[in-house]
Amino acid sequence: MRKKAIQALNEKARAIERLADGEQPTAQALTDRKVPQGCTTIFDTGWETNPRPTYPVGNCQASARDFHGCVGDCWWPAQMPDGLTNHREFDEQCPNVARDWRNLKYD
Amino acid sequence: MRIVLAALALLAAAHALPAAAGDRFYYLGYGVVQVVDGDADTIVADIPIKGAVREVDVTPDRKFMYVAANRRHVHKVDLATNRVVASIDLASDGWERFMFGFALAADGTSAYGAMMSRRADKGEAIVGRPVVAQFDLATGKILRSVEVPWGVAHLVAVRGGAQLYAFGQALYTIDTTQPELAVVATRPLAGRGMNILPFWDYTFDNGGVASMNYYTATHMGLLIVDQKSGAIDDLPLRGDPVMAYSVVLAPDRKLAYAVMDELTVIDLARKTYARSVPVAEGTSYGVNVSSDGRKVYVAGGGSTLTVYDARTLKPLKVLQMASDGMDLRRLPK
Amino acid sequence: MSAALHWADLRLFDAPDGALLFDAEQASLFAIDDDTRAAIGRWRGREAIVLDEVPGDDREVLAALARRRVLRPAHARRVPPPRPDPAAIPVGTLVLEAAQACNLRCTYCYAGGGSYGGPARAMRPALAARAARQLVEGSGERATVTLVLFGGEPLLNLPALRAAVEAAASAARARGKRLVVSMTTNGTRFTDEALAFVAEHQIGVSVSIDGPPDVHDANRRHAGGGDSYADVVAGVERLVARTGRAPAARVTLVPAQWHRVPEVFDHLVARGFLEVGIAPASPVSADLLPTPAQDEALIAGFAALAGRFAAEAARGRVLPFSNLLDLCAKLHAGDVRDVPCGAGLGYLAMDADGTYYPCHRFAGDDALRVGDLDTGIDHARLRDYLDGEARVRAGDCAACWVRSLCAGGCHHDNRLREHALRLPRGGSCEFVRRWTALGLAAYAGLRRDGPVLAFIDRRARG
Repeated sequence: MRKKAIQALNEKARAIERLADGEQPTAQALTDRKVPQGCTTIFDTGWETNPRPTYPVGNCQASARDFHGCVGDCWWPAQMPDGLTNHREFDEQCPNVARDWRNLKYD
Repeated sequence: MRIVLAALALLAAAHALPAAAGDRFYYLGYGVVQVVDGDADTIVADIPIKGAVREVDVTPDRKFMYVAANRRHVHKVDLATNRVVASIDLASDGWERFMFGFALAADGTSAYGAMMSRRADKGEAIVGRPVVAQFDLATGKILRSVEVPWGVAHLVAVRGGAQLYAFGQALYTIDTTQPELAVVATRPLAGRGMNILPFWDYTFDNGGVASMNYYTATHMGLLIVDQKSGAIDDLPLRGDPVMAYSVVLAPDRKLAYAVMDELTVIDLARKTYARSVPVAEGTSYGVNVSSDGRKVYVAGGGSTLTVYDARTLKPLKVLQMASDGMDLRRLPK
Repeated sequence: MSAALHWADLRLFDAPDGALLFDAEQASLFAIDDDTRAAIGRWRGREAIVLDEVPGDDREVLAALARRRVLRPAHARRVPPPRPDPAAIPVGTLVLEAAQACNLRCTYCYAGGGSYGGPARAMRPALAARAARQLVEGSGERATVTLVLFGGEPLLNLPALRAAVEAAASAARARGKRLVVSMTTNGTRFTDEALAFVAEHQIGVSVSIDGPPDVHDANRRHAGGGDSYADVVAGVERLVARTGRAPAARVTLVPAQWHRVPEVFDHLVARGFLEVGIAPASPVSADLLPTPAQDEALIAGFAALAGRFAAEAARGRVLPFSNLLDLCAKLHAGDVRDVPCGAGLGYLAMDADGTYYPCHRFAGDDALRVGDLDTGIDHARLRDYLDGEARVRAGDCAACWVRSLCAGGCHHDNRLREHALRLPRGGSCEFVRRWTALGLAAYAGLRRDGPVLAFIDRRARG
């Protein structure tokens, strides 16, 4: 048998390979299934340019209207304060985004 | 098409309409639940609540509402005095828990939640298996649980609490009558190309019928669950799908209302969309309807509650709420 | 659109069959073939690589490297965990300096004749028992606690050792914990009573012995003068006869002896020691600092033993060279370390008076007193010390390829060099890197399904 081009030697290297193995089916699941579960572009109101003639028109950022639903459950952890781990009391700091957005102090 | 026939049968069994509205609406906010009188459409009480409210259930006698917040707190609200009378934290035994899905159990002292969990051990994160668990409402102690696949986000109790419907990538039926909880049936949802965000069901508002919308690659449909019998009806809708987070049934069950950026009227008999109007206040999560069917309420997403004339879909009133909101629920006064 | 990928901080080492690739940030180790190495050579100069834009076969190779995180998105950098908090880590190992006195006067001793400065003294048995109980009771959820009997020469204070071990054993029994007891001794005090004690409690013994008589006796002499080699050998024979278990040899060599490493090792293996660990003497004084030639001699000696290790492993046998076995175990696990050792983080020492220190070597250093048995552990002081050490070294270590295994090196050696001798930081870094590279090659050469790797695996898992 031909020697493998890249062979994991230590436990850390093997752990990383296992991590990568796990990625394969995940990626497939998302491409095989036409409509993934959860908040997809179908539900997406403000994450890309909104094609609909309705509020929020043409925006490309999270809208205040949809902010809290995303924060609390970490739907969009990249752009939102992470409401499950690091900013769990976020709702106390900023219960009304349109009014309290100046209090936003997450990074 | 057994399911479609069943759906029609269910919709035919509508309740008689009450003479007057006489509703109380509960606006599920952040740090607060606000009570709105459905006759005057004014805020009549604020109930301070710790956390971001996500789900509620009411006791059969309608005296208490249990409010699940921040995916871990459960507050008991006395509906006569509009005050929190007890609170529990599900994350008090060393495990952090995140509850998606909440339903009261028939025994009156416990409830079910779909839970994910984690804890830290020597700096390493340990992630618990996802479960549906029954817990004591007085102490938060987990009484029993059954492992479920990842992704369960909503629970509906059916058949007098003998079974739970757990909505995730599939719909799992959980038998509660034996000493151990057990998943006894699995109906594919994602496996059939159905994409569902099952956070809103309006079971008690609809008089014991859960209503949720789903999407496939080609259409939007409604899942209608009769709480008493457990019958599940799948109602695919014709025409280009509208965008909606949530769907509530009109009291006569001839129409349904769906909301996201637009408020859409659905004709249940013709299984298609009757009309849509943009929601001027913007993206909204929750929709409800007065018990006389004359007014439609759209709320949450932001911090507004808009009252519409159900017939003309003209906005009658916009209430500025104390906080952003997750949903609007209805009980008779 | 695929994201731009960046190279990890990787190092390549020649290997008989291709090359070894070590990711300095993750401590992951891969064997790669010549084609992969060539592709890395072609693309390594690129700042950012978009896989979709890589032509032909190289794309496949780079994709395979990306799967191993050798190429990764910019945001995938390892974020160092917060500094470990000593208060959050219960002590699991306590070194008891039961006798701050010694019957030998080794020239290189960091404890200054065993007393760590000041007069010779012995720990009271009652204090030893309290300390041992406190170890077990304060060990939180740990299933195993370790008591290390140390000195000076611990066997000069058998009553305290006995009190400590018996107290720890009964406390451990009551809490369902496992107690491990070990002892480092000079091997000259194995009386019948001492041997009975060692046997009864199954104490793991390390004996300080430096090799053949002339090497050993050059530095390890009795307090009143006179060689100690013969006494040590006789003591070890009595120990083996009584317990049936060979001790490990703990060797300390001064720079002038470093060219004799292989000979020292062979002598002690022939004497029947279970394992042999060889430490270059810490620079307690400037005359123990090596010349460049002596440094070369040390690495050459270690390299010779690494070569012998590989040859033995090919026959399915483990060469009992503790230094290399420990290094292989560390490489095998590939755990990224943010602290060099457990000092103050689960590991503490206590001197004869009941004062805590982060490590046994710091006894007597007033700046590093971190509480005592009466007032408890001074976590704030521990934290200050450890954070200070980490801060000082963070910049130095940032670009070093062994940083995730070494994490800054021995606190005590660093302190000697930088405080006592006023030397610049980093004096032993080059040795550590060369030694790690030797270990890397020895480890990578092990048969993947062979008994030696299985032995290393068990060692890594503790």
